[in-house]
Amino acid sequence: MPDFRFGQDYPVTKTEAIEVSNRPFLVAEVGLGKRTHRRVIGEATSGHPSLTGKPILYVDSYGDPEQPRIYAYARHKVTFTEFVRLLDRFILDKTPAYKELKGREFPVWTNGGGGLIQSKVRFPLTSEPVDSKTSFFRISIPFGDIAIEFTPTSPEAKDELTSVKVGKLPRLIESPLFGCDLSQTSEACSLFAQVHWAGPDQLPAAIVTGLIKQMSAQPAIA
Amino acid sequence: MEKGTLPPGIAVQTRVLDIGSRKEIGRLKELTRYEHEVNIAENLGLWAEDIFVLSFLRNPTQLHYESTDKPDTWEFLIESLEPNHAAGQKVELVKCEHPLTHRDIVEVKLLTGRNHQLTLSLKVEIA
Repeated sequence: MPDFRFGQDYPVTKTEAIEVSNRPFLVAEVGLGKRTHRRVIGEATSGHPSLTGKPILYVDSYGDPEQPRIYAYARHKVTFTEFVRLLDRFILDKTPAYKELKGREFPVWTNGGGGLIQSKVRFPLTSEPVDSKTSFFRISIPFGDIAIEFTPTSPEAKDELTSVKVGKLPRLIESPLFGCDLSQTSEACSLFAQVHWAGPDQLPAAIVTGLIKQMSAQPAIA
Repeated sequence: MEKGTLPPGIAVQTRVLDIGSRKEIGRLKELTRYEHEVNIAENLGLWAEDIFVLSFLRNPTQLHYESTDKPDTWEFLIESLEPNHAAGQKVELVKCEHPLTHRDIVEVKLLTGRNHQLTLSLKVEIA
């Protein structure tokens, strides 16, 4: 963490123990003005040793009374090519229930190294050549926006349970990130589970989706 | 000139502007004030970013900030730049004195809470 006057840690305002499929996790909450940052951290008994003390999910809520927003994000493990394949599959699986997805154009923002560009795409994306230099991709679909970045993987977070025990939450979050807008629906959680850094071997998809649904349904602890 | 990277969902631009017309200026006149602008566009990532901006003038005897604590430094912090929001155009008055070298560099360093670092070097001429 560079020294640029941010401070290394947030002061934790609340903590809560939660469970998904009998697996315990700790939620630490930080109030940052109108942003409430919550972090789901793996416990020693969360199901795999590699999860202990690690950030599993970041969830930010913005308390705008007219348009409250909630976003979930986490470090991911996929390449752009893999992501495009997974996104195609996700949309294909949803199309029978959401016929409006078929043949429609969706706005995207991409960064292929020359800055951010807005355009429109149709599914399947794999029908077009994939730009392997893509470092950022965001798409607006009816389930809410999805964004993903393709940057070098940051060093893994240290044991955040230890920090939370002394009332601190490290400000530094992991990279690269995948995130989705959960303000309207948590439909994108199945895609989230597939790209998540710990899925599916260390963290089964059902646990990731369960965590996202629980965190998006539940307002900030405060 | 750019060195380093910001999170790829964020775009930034820096310019020196004429105060009246707000047009970008590359050739500065002595004993004249300008605006130095740092424009951080909309955060397209779905996560908040903390960004510390540090702008540095190499030769403050010929080009200096007028209302900052130090004439060679302008710094500000954008904490929790939320998704779909821009930090917008931040400006600071810069004054061009009698030229010494007729060339100068405005160096803007951006550091994020996720360890990204970008340095923008803006070359200006002084008439």
